[in-house]
Amino acid sequence: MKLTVLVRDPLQLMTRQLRQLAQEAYATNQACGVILTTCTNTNPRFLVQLESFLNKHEAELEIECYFDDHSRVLGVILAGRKLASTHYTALVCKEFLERYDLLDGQLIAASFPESGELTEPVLSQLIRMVKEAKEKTRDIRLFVNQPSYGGVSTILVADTEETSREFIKLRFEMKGYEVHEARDGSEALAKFSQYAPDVVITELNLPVLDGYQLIHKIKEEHEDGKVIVLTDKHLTKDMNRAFEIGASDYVTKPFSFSELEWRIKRLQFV
Amino acid sequence: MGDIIRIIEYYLQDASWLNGLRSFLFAYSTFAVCYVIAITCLYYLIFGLSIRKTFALKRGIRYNRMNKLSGSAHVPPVSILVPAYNEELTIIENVRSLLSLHYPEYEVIVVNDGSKDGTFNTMIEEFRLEKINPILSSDLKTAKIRGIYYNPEYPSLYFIDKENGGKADSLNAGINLSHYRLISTIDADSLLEKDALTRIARVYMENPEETVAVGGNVRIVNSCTVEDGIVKNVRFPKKLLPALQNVEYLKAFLGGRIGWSAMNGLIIVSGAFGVFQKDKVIAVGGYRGGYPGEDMNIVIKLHRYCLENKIPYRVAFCPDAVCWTQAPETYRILSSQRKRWGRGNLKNMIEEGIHMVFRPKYKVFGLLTLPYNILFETLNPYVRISGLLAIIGYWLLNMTDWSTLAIFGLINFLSCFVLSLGALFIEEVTFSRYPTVGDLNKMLLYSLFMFLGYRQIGVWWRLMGHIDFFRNNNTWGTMVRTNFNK
Amino acid sequence: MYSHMTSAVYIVYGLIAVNLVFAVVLYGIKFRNVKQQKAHERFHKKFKDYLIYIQANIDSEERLRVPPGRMNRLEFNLLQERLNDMIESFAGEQREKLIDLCGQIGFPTYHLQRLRGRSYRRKIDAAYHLGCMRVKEAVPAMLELLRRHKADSSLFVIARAIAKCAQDPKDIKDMVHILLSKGRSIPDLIADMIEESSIDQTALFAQFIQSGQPELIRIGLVGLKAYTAPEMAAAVYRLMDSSNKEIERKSIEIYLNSTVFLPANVVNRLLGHADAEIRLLTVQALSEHRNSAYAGALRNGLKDPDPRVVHASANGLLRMGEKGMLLFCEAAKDSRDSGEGTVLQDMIEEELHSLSARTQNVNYLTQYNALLYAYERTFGKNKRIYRVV
Repeated sequence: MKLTVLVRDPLQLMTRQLRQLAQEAYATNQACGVILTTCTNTNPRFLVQLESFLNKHEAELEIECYFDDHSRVLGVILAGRKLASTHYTALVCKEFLERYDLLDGQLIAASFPESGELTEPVLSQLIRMVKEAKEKTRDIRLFVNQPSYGGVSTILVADTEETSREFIKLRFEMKGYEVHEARDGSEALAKFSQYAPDVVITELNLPVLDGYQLIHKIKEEHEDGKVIVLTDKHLTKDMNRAFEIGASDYVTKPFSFSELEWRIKRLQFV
Repeated sequence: MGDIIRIIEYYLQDASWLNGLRSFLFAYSTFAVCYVIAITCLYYLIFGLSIRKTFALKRGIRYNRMNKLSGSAHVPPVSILVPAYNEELTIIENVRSLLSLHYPEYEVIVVNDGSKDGTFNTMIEEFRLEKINPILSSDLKTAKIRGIYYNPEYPSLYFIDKENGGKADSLNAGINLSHYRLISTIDADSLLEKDALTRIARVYMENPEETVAVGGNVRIVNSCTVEDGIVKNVRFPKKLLPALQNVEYLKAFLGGRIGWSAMNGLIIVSGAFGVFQKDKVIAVGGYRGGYPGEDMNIVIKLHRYCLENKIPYRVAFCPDAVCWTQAPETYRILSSQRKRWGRGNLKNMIEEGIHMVFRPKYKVFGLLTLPYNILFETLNPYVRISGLLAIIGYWLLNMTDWSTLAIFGLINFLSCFVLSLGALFIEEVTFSRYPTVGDLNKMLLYSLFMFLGYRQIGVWWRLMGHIDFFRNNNTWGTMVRTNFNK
Repeated sequence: MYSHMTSAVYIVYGLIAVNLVFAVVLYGIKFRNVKQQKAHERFHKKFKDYLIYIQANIDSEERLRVPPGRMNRLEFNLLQERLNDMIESFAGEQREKLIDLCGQIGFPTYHLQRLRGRSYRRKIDAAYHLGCMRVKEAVPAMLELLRRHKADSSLFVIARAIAKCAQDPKDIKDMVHILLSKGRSIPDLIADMIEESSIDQTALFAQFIQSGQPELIRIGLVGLKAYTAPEMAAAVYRLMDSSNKEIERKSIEIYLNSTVFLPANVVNRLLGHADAEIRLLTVQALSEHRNSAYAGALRNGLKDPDPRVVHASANGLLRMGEKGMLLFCEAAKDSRDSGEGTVLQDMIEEELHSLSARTQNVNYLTQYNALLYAYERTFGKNKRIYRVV
């Protein structure tokens, strides 16, 4: 009889087990989705319930659930699922967990290879994030481990419309940028001085100090400050004026996010 | 003293004389009853039209996406005219607010009406304006222009400095400089909502050739929180006078103007916020200066011009385009405002109204609006006074039947209160700006209070205004308004 | 007297009852509004994650999925509103994905049913939502509704919805014809509606211009206002001598903005036009081109009866380089000598004065020198002129 008592780091243990499970799923399909969260309950029966609940919403879901008693981290591996479906499944999971009052923190959803390389460091980082975020908020975060493209990493968004701002902030933060918001021209100018963003995305119609004024002032103090105008004004004379005053680019609403991102990346080469 | 009483008693006992008086008073009471019934019926007609239009209005507001329209290239460009007199404290904030409206193409023309304070300097310094020499059209005569200032960094802002001539004169000067076909008049101390101009533009665009004027809705901003030129929290006014005025405005604008505009009989577009076709305004000679009431005056002239020249037209009202204004909080300022209104109203009726009233050529405006205005607004104080005298007469002659009077008064009050409720109904269904039930309670309460003295004082102020008119009739008044505080 | 009294008392009671009824209705509406507000907030909390899911994954290749779990009627409607907002804010593929999502949830079917129903209020509501979602199957029913509708505000709601949904230019043309048949002249509004549609707008506007019907021509001209391709010039050329003033004016505007080079006969014709606005537009367009070939025409503009045209011609000449400045100075000297006054000369001096204040900028300095040279060549040295070293 072998009695091997090894004191191991439970975190490492969990990471290794997760990795194993993920690799198995990875090996047979192209992608692998991982959802991590912390729970209050340690009853193993609910794992089965969770699986059946998830299957109810999607019959062909290949799920593997894993629960670590010590740290109370719940991991769900989805075979063959990209980030979008993983996100969706996270929604369903959250509903299940909240229904039975099991949720105790954030949910983090990731998909490999979209979110990054399937390595132990990445997984342990994920697990750490989940454990640290305990008790703070109950929302779902997407994990994207991309190095920010050289040059642009901080963005300032100035727009009175909240939905617009929120969308841009959400998407760019997902891609790894640091995003600051401003609701009017003077707040934008103040934050520009404070955070020195690489790119400013601004509307033209801002209270207190309008978009043109903002661009002008930014260019006055920092000649190579880059400002992209994102607005619903389609008049050619607005475009001309914006460029004359020093804007680097002009995007009209409704806009496509990938186009906006592409234009920002292009800015470093200009 | 005793002699006087004996004399009065003697006359009171003279039967034949008394009988004559009695029959006169009786006839008068018939007249009074008819008067009240007529005015109530007319009110009901107007309110009925307003309520009927409410649902169509609501649909128009709900199903038009203002965001899209704000960025469209096909929305007509507007020149916003801002007459300013002694506004140094608030002019910068207000101009900045006007410069950041959600509207594709417009210009802001601020006219300094010979201010005695630092308005001129404040503007020049803040926006770094420099003198320019544009070509002004000379369609309208104004006081001497001292200079026109501009800064290409603020391409939509123009600043006219001229000698004092009054609000109407300033508007005319602005018209001479304006570059667009539509003009909008704004008070320097009013707060325009960001999409107000777009909403009016939508109404205009649905019938551009015929819409000669569109009026906006004026709401009272007292006790609301304002940040960066935007009203963040709408609250019912806390003080008594603004609260009463708030209810009064709601009743007049939502209950009255919607109905009148449905019949194309709207007699006034608020000076605080209105949009006009420039060529028509110039055709009627611009704004009449030297006397208050130029906002009603221009609309009357527009009706007259279009009706006389057989031009199909409409004067519209856009209740969702909101301009916030500070209501007077003290009795003194409120009374002087109302006296001014009374004076202006009388002058307009004498100058313009008399020529058009009861003439079929002037359609609804001449046959309904003007009679209503003359009989039930302008002459109202006199009817009320005569009514009061009649009641005293009744009392002296022991003709009074207090219960009849009481019943009559009660019927009158209750039927008018229904209309107040009607106005609040329109507010709740279409706009619902006041968020809490407590606000509704206050609105009902103050609607009630209105009948317990506020309306009566209003009549008194109007009468004072008339007296001012008759007193000043011989003076050529360039009414230099001490401030645009209303 | 007593019978009157009793009936009067009854009237009073009646009125009190009416007042109470109204008050009850009023409070009912108020409470309903407050309840709705709370329901809105609940919805936002509950669906926040789902909406983030949509926003975050709108670019992915996968289809967006319907919300997990059941929705009640209110949540159904509120989600529709949010999706409408998003559809309007996005374009292209992202919009398609959102529309597909709406299809999955069942919004189009629901509204199509309501459109064919009997309640007017519901029909308009359905038309609006179907428009937002760009549902092409709704077009025939909406056209029918448009045909029978009276000419008020809601008419345009339906028309706009048709414009958003239509995939076939013929439907848009039908819509325009119906609107025009209601008797209103609304070229700006119609052009604005057409621009919300996904058909080839330029082609449609071009067709309108060539249609020969004044109303359609006006719509076409408004729609093409922003296009400055040279083909436009040819298309509007014929319209420039239309008898309809609006058409004439708009087509001249487009023509001036879209040609690279204006032929001399056209320039002369336009400069000799009776309407000062047209002359002004022409002069402004010539100034923009900064081609000294037009300097002669601008000099003629200086003699125009309308002061605005004179002013614009002067500005144009001043920015046209040496030749323009020289011509201007000569014209100023001629007008002074012939007794017409020194208005033009004053303009030159003022321009010199304002330029002299800005000579830190190289461009302005060059202009200043050129103008000073032209001035002195024509008028001789003048002590009044402030000299800049």
